[in-house]
Amino acid sequence: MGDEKLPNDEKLLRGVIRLNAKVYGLVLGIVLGLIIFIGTNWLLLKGGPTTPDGRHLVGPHLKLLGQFFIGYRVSFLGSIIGFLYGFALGTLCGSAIGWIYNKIVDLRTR
Amino acid sequence: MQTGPVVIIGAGPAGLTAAYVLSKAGVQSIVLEKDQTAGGIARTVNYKNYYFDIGGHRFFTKVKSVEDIWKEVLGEDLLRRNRLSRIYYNKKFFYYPLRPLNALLGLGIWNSILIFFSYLMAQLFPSKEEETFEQWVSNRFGKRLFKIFFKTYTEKVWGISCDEVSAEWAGQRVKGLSLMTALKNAILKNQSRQKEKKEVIKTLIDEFDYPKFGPGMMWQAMVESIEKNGSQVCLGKTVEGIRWSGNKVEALEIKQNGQIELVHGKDFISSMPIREALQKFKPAAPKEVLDAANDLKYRDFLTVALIINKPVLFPDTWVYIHDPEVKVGRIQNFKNWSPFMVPDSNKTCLGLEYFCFEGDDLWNMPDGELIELGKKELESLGLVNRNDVEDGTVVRMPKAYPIYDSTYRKSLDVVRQFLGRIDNLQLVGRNGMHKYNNQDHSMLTAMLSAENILGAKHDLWAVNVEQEYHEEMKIEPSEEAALDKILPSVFARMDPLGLATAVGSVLGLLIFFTTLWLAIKGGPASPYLKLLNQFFFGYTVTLKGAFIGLAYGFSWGFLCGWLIAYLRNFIIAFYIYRIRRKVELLTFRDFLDHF
Repeated sequence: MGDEKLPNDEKLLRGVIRLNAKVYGLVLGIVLGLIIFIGTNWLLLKGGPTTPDGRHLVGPHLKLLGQFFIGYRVSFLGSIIGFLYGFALGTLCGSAIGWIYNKIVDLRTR
Repeated sequence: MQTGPVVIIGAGPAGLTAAYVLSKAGVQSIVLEKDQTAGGIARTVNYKNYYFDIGGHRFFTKVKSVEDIWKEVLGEDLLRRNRLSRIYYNKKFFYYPLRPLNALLGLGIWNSILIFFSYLMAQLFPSKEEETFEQWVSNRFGKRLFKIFFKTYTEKVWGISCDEVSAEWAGQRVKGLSLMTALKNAILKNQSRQKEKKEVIKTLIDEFDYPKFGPGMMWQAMVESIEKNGSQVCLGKTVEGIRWSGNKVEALEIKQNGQIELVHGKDFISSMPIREALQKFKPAAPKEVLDAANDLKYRDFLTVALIINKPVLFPDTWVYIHDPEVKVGRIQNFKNWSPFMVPDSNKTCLGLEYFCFEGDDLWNMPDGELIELGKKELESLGLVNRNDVEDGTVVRMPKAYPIYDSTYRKSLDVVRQFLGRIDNLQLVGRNGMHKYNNQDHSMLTAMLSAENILGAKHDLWAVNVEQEYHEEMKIEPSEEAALDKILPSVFARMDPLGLATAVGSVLGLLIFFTTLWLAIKGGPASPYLKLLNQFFFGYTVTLKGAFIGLAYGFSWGFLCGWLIAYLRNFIIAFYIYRIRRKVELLTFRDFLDHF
């Protein structure tokens, strides 16, 4: 923005915040990864109803994530796989938000 | 290092400090003072061994280097005194800043309720215009409190109605303070160590140092020290002209036995009123500069000192008189400043201070009449019985306060611009800079000017409110640098359109690809994703639905992103507004101390 030489108050009043896309991505990645990890393990600990054929039905809806995250299941191993998928997706989304935001700010303040 | 002679105009706190610092560094100087006494507006007058101070000068500072000089010069003769200075209104004493219980008892419950509602009204429906002092204060404290505690005293001090005093004057200290400093202070204040510092500062405000026999003792000791080191302090020497050429002052013309004598020097420091200094330039300064200098105004002041045949009158060191019925503005109780100021412990010496303009009726009133006026007003205030007044004297002090009127800043800028081109002349002190420098800051400007002669590059105009605030804050330079870097990015505005577009794009694409994936692959998740059409009308898990989802996702994401950015900006702006408002009130805390 070329405002390094402006007085501090001017910087404060005229400045537009820039997002650190990497940090944003990392934060969103960790948050999404943890949501899936904790959510999966919570369902595992809580258990589920028993079907008439005697099977335990744990997390039938969360299981549907496997449609997108290949290899994901409602199990402890699945929670780790889910964490990795969630982390990847969150990082991608967060970085994209940061990157797009910064591009728009650059365009508008040019 | 330049070691040539330095010529200093004025033997007030600033002029003497400059000479003192230079003499300690081995640089000779000549101090020229037009009066027969050193001390300028901070002198001490001796009347029949009753000592009194013109205006009351506390030796109170947060500038360590200034404090060191005071201690170095006077040592044991500097007494530590308790401070009590209240407002006297309607025959009652009020603390300032106001203390709720004291104000409630003094003003009565009904009046206090009216004050509260007046304050509430001011907060809810402030005056949109803030051009006058009255509007500025009323908007912050309410009209009723303004009338009781600010209007009368301010009008006495400045001699004009509060409608005519510019709001700029009231906001002066606040305006001089940067937002960044206010934020830094707000952040650092939360640190626990700040608490200890605040306690130290509070102690310093409640107490002050004072020379045994008044400030004159300090200036006399300084004169002796300066002369001992080989420099000269010449009293009774009026500067008649300042000879200059190009970007240098060459010499000063002084009158000696009716003859003009030239005093040459390599460097010059002036603490004389800036208006007078400009008028003495030879050849004359450019017309626009002279006009600007002539536009700078001063408020003058006289003290009626009365000796009272009573050992104790009131515990205050000084009292602000807010009653509109009397002309006296402030009363000094010199015995409470230092018991050594009064030779007979059964008596008290009061200094009644009247603010006036040189040449007005009050200024020209004969001393006898002024003493009578003093007696009459003391009696009507209920402080002293006139028959107890034994004796009295009058001291007039011209140019005690530089006036901050609506044009002074512009005029001062013109003068500063002109004087800034003169390399070997520095302006110091209160009148020398036409600035509300208290004694300590006047001395600081002088110390820095001396250091400049020794090779430093200080900006003397930077000794101001900001500095005072920094003194209170006591922020480490490393912390300050870090905050300077961090704060602009923390408090900077978030671009709502930017965040809205970014969040909208990501959410839209997420829905688009998810739908597309299931539309191609199929599977048990499709019916669940389809439930989105409960919110996104027309959405299906098909290629067409993917585009519809993209549009809906973008719209909702855009709205959420915009709201997040807007709310974040609003909260930050509100926080900054609160900090600024708090600082305004804090800087008003010692409002009365600045007269």
